Amino acid sequence: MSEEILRIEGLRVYFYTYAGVVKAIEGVDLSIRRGECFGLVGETGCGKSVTMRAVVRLIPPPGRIVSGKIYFEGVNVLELPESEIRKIRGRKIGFIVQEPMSALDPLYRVGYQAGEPLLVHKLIRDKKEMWRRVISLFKTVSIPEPAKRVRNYPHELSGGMKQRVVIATALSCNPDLIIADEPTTNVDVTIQAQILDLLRDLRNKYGTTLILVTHNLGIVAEMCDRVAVMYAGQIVELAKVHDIFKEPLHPYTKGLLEAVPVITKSREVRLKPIPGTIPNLINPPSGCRFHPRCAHAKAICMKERPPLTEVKPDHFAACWLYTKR
Amino acid sequence: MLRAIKERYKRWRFRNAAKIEEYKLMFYAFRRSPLSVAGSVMVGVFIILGVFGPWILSGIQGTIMFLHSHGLVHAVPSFNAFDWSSEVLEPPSWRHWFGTDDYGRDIFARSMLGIQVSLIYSLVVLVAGIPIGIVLGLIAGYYGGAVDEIISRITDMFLAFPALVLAMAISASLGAGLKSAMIALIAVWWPGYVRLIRGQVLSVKENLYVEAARAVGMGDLSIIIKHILPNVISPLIIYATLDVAGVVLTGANLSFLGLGAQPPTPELGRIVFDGLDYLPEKWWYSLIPGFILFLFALGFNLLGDGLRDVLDPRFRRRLEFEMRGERGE
Repeated sequence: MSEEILRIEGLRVYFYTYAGVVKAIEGVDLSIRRGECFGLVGETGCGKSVTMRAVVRLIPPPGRIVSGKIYFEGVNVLELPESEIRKIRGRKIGFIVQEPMSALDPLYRVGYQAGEPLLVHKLIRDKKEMWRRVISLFKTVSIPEPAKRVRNYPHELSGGMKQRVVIATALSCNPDLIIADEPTTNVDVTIQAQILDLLRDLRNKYGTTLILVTHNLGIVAEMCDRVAVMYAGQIVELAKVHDIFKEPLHPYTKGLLEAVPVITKSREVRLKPIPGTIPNLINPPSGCRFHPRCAHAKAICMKERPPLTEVKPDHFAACWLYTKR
Repeated sequence: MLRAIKERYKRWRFRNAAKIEEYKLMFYAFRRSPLSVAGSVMVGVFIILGVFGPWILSGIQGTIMFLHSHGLVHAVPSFNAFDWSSEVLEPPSWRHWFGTDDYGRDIFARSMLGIQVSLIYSLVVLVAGIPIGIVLGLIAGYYGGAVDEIISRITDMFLAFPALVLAMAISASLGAGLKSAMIALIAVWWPGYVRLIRGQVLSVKENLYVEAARAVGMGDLSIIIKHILPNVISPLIIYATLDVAGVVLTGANLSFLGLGAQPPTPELGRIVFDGLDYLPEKWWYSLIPGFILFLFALGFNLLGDGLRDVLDPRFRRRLEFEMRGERGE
């Protein structure tokens, strides 16, 4: 639990839109250890997905990585030529995309699509071997009757099955790192539970590193070892799962946790929303990006960005409440 | 033995039930409109006439001559398509089915042979024009940005001219003739396909499966060929079928204006043009070939309309219920 597989340093991603430059990611530092399950949480549009896409250099235009370094297994991904990064995508880093419903090409059999990474990276000799591998893959992701299912087309499968196919695709080359970008949106809770179980099993079996991008704190609590909380393109808190839920430090994390409905609480206890809305990232608030919505905002919060500091052992927060000037 | 085959057939039917149903539905979608069936029959007939025209003519003549030698028919028609004769401007009769032109040539024979030229026009555009459109459209749509700007603006320049005027200009500057007419048609016809394909690609490439393909490490070229092209092809087929009529008419127009196939090559548009001088009285000279041209264009249009119904999955779903209702299920 010490070797690091992925390190992101000072990542900046800007989107050059007609309305202006959207500073989507502004200085993100992360370090992911081999074999762990890392959760990345935050509101919609806070830059979770963009950060992860930067890792495989799949930022959709007009987005651009402005600065920063991303080391994957010691190699700076951002300096690699396109042909080299393609050898990493799918082979070393499996990407489970959002929305399984549209992640499969309607014109090809699901088995073929799950085996496509194998073909692309030339890990197999012929098509026959591909189908054999795909059938065993489908078995691993517990698709019933894999030998028949591989011959189905996407429209013949249910959402949960399609999600499994997408996971199988990500797993096909035995990657060292799997990035799951909201793997359970658009599927109902029972399937969500099955898919999370599946991911956990796979992780136990192969020891793959898993990065889980989600806005669902329940999933994070269930699955992850460590969590980073993102707000408006910055990491505001980073800690072990237990610590974050037990004693959140950053006011934003506290707010998030208070906004989660708890089934055992009586109905009279109202959920507390965080006042205000996510800032416009074309003109982000000065200093700490959370200060306009923060109850503890001080003068310094408006002026300077708080650094991410280790407040307790292995528990980082970016907030002036814990950092002395 | 027979039972075993029957058993296997049953199992095969069961396994492929969905596929069979789908093909049935396609067939139903096509059959339910008599117009599209008529269109496909017409297209079929014209293709056969175009490809085998000369042989069909001599075949007909041979048959009639055989009948004549047995005394079953009183006269043999003349299918003289090229040679001058004294039978000038005769009205349709048994000897000259569609009448004769001002050189005494048989208009029926000339029309049959003229279909070939029309088919060549459409084939040339299908084989040479559309691929250019596909390639440029894919590149422009997929890469976007400056590449797209350049390709699209050039396309716009071509589209800014009326097709016929541009085709005339090009074929006139190359010198009248079948070859330059074909080059002109290709030059005029690809831009429409660039537009069509580019638009389709723009919508298809936003699909998540394209991004998923990128995330597994596929290169641009294989993504374009494997995941984008197959998904844009179906509107292309419909558009191309509907377009054949336009190509043929423009080609005929070129000939009509004296820029296409040169005499004595029989070409429908050219025959119509030559017959204009004699129009009110000797109506068969230009009206009958004109009518054939009209049927040719109509056939392709009807077929294209039918194909649109067959290839549109949404429309097919709607038909599914209709078909069930008709069968009383």
